Amino acid sequence: MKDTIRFVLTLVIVTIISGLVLSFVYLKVKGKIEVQKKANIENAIKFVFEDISKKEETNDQENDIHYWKCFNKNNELLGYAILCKKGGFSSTIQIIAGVKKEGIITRIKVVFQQETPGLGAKMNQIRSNKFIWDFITGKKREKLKPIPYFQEQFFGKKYAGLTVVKHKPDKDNEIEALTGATISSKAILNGLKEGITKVMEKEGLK
Amino acid sequence: MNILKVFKDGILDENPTFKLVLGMCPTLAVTTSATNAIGMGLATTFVLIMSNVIISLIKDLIPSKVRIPAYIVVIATFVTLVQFVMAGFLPALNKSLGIFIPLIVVNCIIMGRAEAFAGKHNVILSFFDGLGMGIGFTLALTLIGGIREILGSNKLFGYLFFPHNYKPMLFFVLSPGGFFTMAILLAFFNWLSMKKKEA
Repeated sequence: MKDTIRFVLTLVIVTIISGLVLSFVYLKVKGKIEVQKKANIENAIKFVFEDISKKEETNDQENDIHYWKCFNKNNELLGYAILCKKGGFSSTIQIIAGVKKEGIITRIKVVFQQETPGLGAKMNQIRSNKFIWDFITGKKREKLKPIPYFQEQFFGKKYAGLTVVKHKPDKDNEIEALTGATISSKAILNGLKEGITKVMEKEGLK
Repeated sequence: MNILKVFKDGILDENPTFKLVLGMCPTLAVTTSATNAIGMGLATTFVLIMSNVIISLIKDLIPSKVRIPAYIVVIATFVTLVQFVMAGFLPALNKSLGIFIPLIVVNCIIMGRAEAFAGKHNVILSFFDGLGMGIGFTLALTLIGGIREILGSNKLFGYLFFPHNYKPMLFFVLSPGGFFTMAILLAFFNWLSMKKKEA
């Protein structure tokens, strides 16, 4: 009996201490994490609409719709930067998609993901043309643009008819899945479709 | 038991991957490239050192019958802490290492060392055990990751390796390739230590 109380007490104390430590640290860093999340999204919006100079935010939490109407410096509507969310293989993938009012995707950027490193996480991988030997031989190669090749497939395409395929795409509406990460690839496409459709309906564009 | 031996054991004679065969889950999952392997290895090393130190400090306060749940709470707390701090203060590091942190909670090397070493030794020895084991784990992961990356995607640390006419064997990036590489390396290192014993 005495032992039981001792065991229970020990565990209670250990968990209370760790709970206190964690909540204390969380309160300290919460503000900083929020700031970084915001900056991350701001950068993504600038990436999908490079000419942006003004934006209006709509955050409808009830229907889970979050987007920004983006304008250029002449106050012309560029399109909508839409925050799309979708459960992938091991995380909720969050994407900022730039969409013109005709339903054409300008660019997309994944702003949050915790997919498997080496498989799903490759959605952020940038193609490289440098050989490891170049460090020894000192050979220079032309610089490639730092855009993830998986995401680049969506640029400039109409969102409505896109499908994910497991081979080299031979039609314009096909997106090549990441090898070994079909679930993550499909999650991105479906997340985009759902997010964009909701905004299009809300804006009466369909 | 001296510090140097404890440190060396973690890297060579008791290498967590090739000798103790602990933590196979994250090993197979993240060794698809050498960069990932190093990231996972370093994150694990950090948590391993800290959890070893804390557990060796509190080991006398915890009744042995409830030590396992207590250790798990300590480790999980620590991993969550690292995640918070990285997300708040080191955004760049968080972007590259952040995906590995949740995987560390399920890495049995941490629990294994807490139970087998830190729970029985003093703080300094436990620190060096954590450091040695961490480095051993990192080196092993990098070796596996390097082999799989070269064969499977014709790259090393993200840079091309063989000339363009080499066609990468995709097999090695996928899980069967991981088992295959692991098996051959395990056999090789066991053969080495058997030869060493005979001599």
